Amino acid sequence: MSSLLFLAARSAWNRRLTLGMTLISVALSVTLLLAVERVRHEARASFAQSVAGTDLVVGARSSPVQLMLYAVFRLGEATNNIRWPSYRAIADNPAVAWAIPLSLGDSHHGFPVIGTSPAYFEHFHYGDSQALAFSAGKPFADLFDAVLGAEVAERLGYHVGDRIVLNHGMGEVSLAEHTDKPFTVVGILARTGTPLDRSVHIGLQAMEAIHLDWQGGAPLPGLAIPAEYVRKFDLTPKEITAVLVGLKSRAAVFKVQRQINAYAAEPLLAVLPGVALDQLWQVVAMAERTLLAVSAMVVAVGLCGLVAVVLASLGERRRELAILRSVGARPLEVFLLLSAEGLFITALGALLGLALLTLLTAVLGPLAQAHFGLAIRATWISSDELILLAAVVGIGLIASLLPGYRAYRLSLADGLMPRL
Amino acid sequence: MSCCLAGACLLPLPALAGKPTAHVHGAASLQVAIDGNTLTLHIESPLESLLGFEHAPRTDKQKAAVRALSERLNQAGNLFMPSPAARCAPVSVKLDSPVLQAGKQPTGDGHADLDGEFVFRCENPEALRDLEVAIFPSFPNLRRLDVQVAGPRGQSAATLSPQQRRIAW
Repeated sequence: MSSLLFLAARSAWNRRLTLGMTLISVALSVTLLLAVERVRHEARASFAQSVAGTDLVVGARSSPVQLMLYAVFRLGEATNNIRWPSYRAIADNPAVAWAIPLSLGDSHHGFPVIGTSPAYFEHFHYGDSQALAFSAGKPFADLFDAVLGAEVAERLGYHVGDRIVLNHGMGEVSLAEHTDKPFTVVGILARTGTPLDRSVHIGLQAMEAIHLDWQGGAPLPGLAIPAEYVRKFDLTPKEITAVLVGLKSRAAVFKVQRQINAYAAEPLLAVLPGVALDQLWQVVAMAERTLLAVSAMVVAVGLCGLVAVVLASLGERRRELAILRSVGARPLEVFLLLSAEGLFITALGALLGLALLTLLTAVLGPLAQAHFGLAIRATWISSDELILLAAVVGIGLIASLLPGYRAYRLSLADGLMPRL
Repeated sequence: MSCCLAGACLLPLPALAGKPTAHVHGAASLQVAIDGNTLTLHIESPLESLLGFEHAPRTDKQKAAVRALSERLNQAGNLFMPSPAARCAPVSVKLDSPVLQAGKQPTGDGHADLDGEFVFRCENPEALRDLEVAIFPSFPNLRRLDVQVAGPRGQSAATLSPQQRRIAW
């Protein structure tokens, strides 16, 4: 048997170019299949990691998924702001333990700026209920203090004590800058692997202060209020974008949600972040299944190519097989020889595909993290991926039986001198 | 909008007043809250899904149907089965619907809902990992139940149907 395998390997080596190309096509299709599964899995994990311990997210009435996307993941835009008195009413609800206001809209070199309260650093949790930690500095205390996410500090090379200028609105390049009111970096947060790493945090009052002398998205001509005078103004914000709410008792979450949704003074929407995420996945599931189906088709195409190549090689290998038969190989061994070749290439292709995927996640993972705040870890193979790989190899084995069977039939029919 | 009203408005509002909730015949929503040893289930359903009609009962048959509905919903232990290992027992049922109160007519567009709150007390809440919902055979008009869960292991959502009656968290 081992001599048979040796012969099979030598024969395959003789046809290394065609088999090599087939191997590459199988490997690439497996990479695609596994990548679809892994991105799906990691995106879910990454989203689920981004908020913990927050019972409700409150914003203007829109879709729960949209509210979650802009309030927690900084994706998309708010349809509307909510008024400050509405925030006060939520925060004063006896069932509410803490309510963190969020004000979005400005940016710094493309990184979103969040106006919030110092309570944010105390109550916001991520992952499995981990609190935020500072890698340097402390929460903001003074008006023009800023706290940076890890990614912001790293990419822009900021340290505690640096002065930064915020841009008005979103976008990498903006003409409107708040140059007259620079901020001092007082703290840098430890890396969390969530969209928080890409955020610049300032106080709500500071957000109000830099827009005091602005109207309709531009500085008012002739009216510039110098930074040292803004403290004399009432810096209570008039509007905020969203509120993160923590409750004293979890059982009250649906009651408080109903109360907020029924708030008469303003149409508000309160969502349970975990529920909104599940609803998002229900919406996305269709697209995910389609992607998985397409990549499964690509694998099928790869395996068809493999079978075609092995079948086509039979024609040129009839003499080779006939010689094998003449020196004592049984028809069953010829069958095994051909089947093993297909199986070996499928298995090798699956392994190569996995290796390629690991390489890709290692290279592209940091890019996804930097641009989308989406943490795709270069994890070792998951059980779902293992099932996919096993399915590919299994189908490869079944497909390889076809050339094996064909060779078996030929080797029975052909004599030593087949008509070529 | 006046801000002095704001604090006052939020609290005293009875559940759902003022908020137009979705009303889809054949569907209902279930909210599952687990806190300590208390499991609270809140169901909100169009009456059509449970009764087949949404007006005050007129005929004897309709009156009997309303009575049967009320009796059935008061047997919380037959409708909702939490994980047996958690040893949960129903402690209270609160039903609120226009048809259950004599003389109260459904308002507005003629549609009416039923709100039910079922409270269970569990001896071993750590073992509370799933809930089997057995309301579908009793209410053939009900085809879909949108479930939201808030528990010690986080929040989740799922959709149950006569084929899929169990939710785990």
